[in-house]
Amino acid sequence: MGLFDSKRRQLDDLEREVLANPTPQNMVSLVERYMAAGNEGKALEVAKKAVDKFADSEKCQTTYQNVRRLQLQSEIQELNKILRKSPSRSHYERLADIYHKELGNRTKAFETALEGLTKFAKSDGLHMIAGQIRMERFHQDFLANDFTEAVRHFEEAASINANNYKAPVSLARLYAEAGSYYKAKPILEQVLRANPGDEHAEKLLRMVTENLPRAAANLDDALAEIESRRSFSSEGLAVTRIFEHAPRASVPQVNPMKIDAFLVGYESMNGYKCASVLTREGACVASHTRGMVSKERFTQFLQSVYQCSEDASRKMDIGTFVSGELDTPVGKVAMAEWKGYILGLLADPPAKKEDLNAAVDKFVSFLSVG
Amino acid sequence: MREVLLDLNKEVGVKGSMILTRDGVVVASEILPPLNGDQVAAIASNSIQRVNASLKALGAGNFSRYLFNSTYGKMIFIETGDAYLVVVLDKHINIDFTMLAVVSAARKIKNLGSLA
Repeated sequence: MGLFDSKRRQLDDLEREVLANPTPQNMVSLVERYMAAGNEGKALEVAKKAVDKFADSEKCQTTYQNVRRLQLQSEIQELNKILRKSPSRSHYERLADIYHKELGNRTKAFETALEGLTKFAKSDGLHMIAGQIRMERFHQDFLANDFTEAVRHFEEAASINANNYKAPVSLARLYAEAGSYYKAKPILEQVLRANPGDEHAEKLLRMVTENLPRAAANLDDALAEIESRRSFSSEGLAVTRIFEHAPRASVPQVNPMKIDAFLVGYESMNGYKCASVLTREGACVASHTRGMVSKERFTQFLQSVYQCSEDASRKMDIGTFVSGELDTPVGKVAMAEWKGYILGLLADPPAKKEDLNAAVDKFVSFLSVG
Repeated sequence: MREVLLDLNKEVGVKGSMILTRDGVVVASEILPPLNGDQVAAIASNSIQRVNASLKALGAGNFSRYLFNSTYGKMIFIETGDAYLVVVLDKHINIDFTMLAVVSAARKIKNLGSLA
């Protein structure tokens, strides 16, 4: 029995474990084992399955991106070299497309598309990628600014290339999701005149026509409502379902009493002082203190810092708040958003950064299992 | 101070940096396009003042470090004596690694401030 046999056995065991009980952790481990064994094909297959199964897991996303990046590394390097020497719109389009579709790296794709647009403003391909990324951001964060920018890019793409029917379909989709059916209808009718039989456009037109009496009176007001509610109306969700097959994860409703009881558990953490949980709107769901700091005052503090971070994120056009850390004279504060809830935790030494991170992870697990 | 910011901007994922006093006055700024320096200064100044005001209401002094991650980026604020170093970062970075460079830049700025 050699080293090879032992490694083969470990791989077999892991394969069986993933088959019986797939988790983000064991799937990522399996991908890493395949990569170490030089089996890129199997690594990619499992990484893809992991991303499909655990769409919310950043670890799975990163692992998938890493596997794909390794495969596409030489092409990316070559494209970057060409873009430095003699940039062309097709090379920018290819690079942005690799980042967006192949690697799922929206930030790099968006930056590449915007950089390309500064040199090739008349590239409908780059406007399409920028528009799609803005639309994805709108679907994730529900910010009106992302909607407006997506519309601008799709309009540009459609005006540059009249044969690009995907741009007007995406435009109509956005308007319909916001309830602006009167804007969506003529666009779809025009698309179907030029491209009869487009399944998405046909379904959307039927839905839009049925809902005309319920159209939003004012687009700006409708967008403001979506932004504050952080979700589409049921009609808006029906539009999204025409284009996406997988249902979106719904926000869990957790009993505040259960969260209260959960926060009490933090008392066992060294250095813990107090904790508070807010909704995205800033309302307090639960709070707890060990007594050194008033929980009402800490909640007010968390509301203010969360709102400040959220405002800064939106104004900087970098999406919405995900997590934060603050070092203050009264201790370290860890903050994190998960499924619509904001946790804030204050702790003093001996609590370390890792302890705070572990406490936040506990909260995430608690919400994930309800 | 400008050189410290320029060096920091060479780190992977750094999109720009600036130094602001506690009351929001810009001391030095090296914000890279497509970001707008004036806009970042206004947002950073507002954030510093709001967080410190919230801490005051809690009965505490000013913060020494503040970091927030958003869906598509990060911002770091580090105290450098009488001022704050503000750094705008990409989402896809190793924060622990970049933080070493940010802390080192903050220390240099603090030393420059005390020499002046």
